[in-house]
Amino acid sequence: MPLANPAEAGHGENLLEVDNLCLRFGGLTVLDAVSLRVPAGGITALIGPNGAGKSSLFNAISGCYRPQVGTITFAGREITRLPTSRRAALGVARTFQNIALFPGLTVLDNIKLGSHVHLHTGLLAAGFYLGRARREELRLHTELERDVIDQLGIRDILRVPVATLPYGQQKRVELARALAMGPRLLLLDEPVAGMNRPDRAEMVRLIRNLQQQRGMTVLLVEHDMGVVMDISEQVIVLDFGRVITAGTPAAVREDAAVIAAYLGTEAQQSQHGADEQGPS
Amino acid sequence: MEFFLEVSLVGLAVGGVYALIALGYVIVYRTTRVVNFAHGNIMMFGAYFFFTFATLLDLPWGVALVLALIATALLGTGIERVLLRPMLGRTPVVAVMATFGLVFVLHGSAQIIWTANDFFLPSIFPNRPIVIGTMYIPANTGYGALIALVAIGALLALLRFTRGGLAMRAAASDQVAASALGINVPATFNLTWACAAASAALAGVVVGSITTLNPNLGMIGLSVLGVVILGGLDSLAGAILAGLIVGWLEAITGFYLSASYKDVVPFVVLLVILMIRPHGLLGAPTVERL
Repeated sequence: MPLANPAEAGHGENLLEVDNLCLRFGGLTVLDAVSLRVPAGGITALIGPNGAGKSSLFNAISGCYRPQVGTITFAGREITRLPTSRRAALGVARTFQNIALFPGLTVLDNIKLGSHVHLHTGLLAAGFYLGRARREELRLHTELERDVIDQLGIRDILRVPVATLPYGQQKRVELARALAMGPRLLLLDEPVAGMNRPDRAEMVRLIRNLQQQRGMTVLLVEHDMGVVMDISEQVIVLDFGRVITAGTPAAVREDAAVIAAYLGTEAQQSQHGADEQGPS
Repeated sequence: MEFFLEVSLVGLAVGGVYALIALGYVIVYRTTRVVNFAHGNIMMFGAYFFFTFATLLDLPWGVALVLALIATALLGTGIERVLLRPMLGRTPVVAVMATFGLVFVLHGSAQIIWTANDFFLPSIFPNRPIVIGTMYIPANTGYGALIALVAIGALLALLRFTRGGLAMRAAASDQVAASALGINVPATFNLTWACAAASAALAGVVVGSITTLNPNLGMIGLSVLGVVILGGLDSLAGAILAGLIVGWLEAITGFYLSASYKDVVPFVVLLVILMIRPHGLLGAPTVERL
């Protein structure tokens, strides 16, 4: 993967800064003055009860939602108004809660689409100047094989249409596709949701290894507290669209506000919390 | 038997041109989920552009053809950018209705610009019919089919082997995921319209050479919509297959029954096939129908 331009790197310590972000749908306030810092080169987890605004925040960062107020700064550059595709080109990659692969395409085509951002020949050029486009594709292909395909152990299924794959493998392919973008910031929306225990452990190991090898920054949303506490250096807790605390896993685990948010204070308990997973 | 073969061959040649027109519908539908009712009239404009460059401006026909393709591609991108872009993200039915309105706008504009008179396109094909054994194929139909064949091959290669083609398939499948991968979805739609319009222009020149040029040329394109439905709205192979079938059926009924049946019989067959296969011959069963 072409690595990030060194001139852009090292801009302060935070790769991602969100300031005073407000997102409303009609009268419903989904994000209420959210500010947070994601330091470069680590794993940060975003947690909170259902409906806390985690996925909305993800969508605002990746560009699917347009916040009414506030700014999002990525690698020292304000991206609040940039379209999703431009953010992707800058190095923001993501996976989706419900897996958004292209079901009709093969695993390889899905992954190739991930590397789309790095091809410099134009869309039609690939048709008209076969020579250069072809070379570029071949070079990319070699890099993909080495850096993504082998590491994720999906070589055997490259020619298979993704729709036919079991859930766990689809999750893997989606991760591979995001990695093919060579991202600086990887947004993972519930990377282990719906997985059995061995698959979950394997995914956690994979994310941690990938993060360390590539030095990229990972921001993830996850409900599995075991995974969150295990994997992340920083935990940010959202509740009702507000950041209620941020800190190390150990500090967050003890935080009274977090415990209240998850388990409910006595008065709230009957309203929500009963179906939430508590901190483990 | 000999007549049967000859008539079949002519029918398949016409069918090849139908297939080219049908592909234009399918390309746009597959990527943007919009059935472009104005495709036939874009085709008609392509023929008029060729007429303008070749006859009115007296350019060599090769140059005129290239200019006509470019002009029509620009018309296609213009329509996407101005008319359909603002509707992006809404249900495709809105955009479909807009293209329906466009049918009349384009038809009326053509009458204003070029009048409603019949014109003949400059002949770009050799004047002698193609002779295979003892069978004759009229020159315009035969060479037109060859051009359609080449254009179909080029279009399929573009979709299959280029990154733009892959981007189109991705954007067609999931717009949000596609843009998260850095694919500029609006630009991809624009490219799709350009490709479809350019292919329409080529088809327009071929059809205009076989018949005459007047603003009603677009109606032929509209009747090909039946071919597209028969093939399956989202199936490239289906469009080609259905184009050949309808062309062949028209020729056969025109010869063995009467010319007045040839507009009816193929569509009766179409209705029967659709009763058995509601998604068209090769269409995906998940396609929403209108």
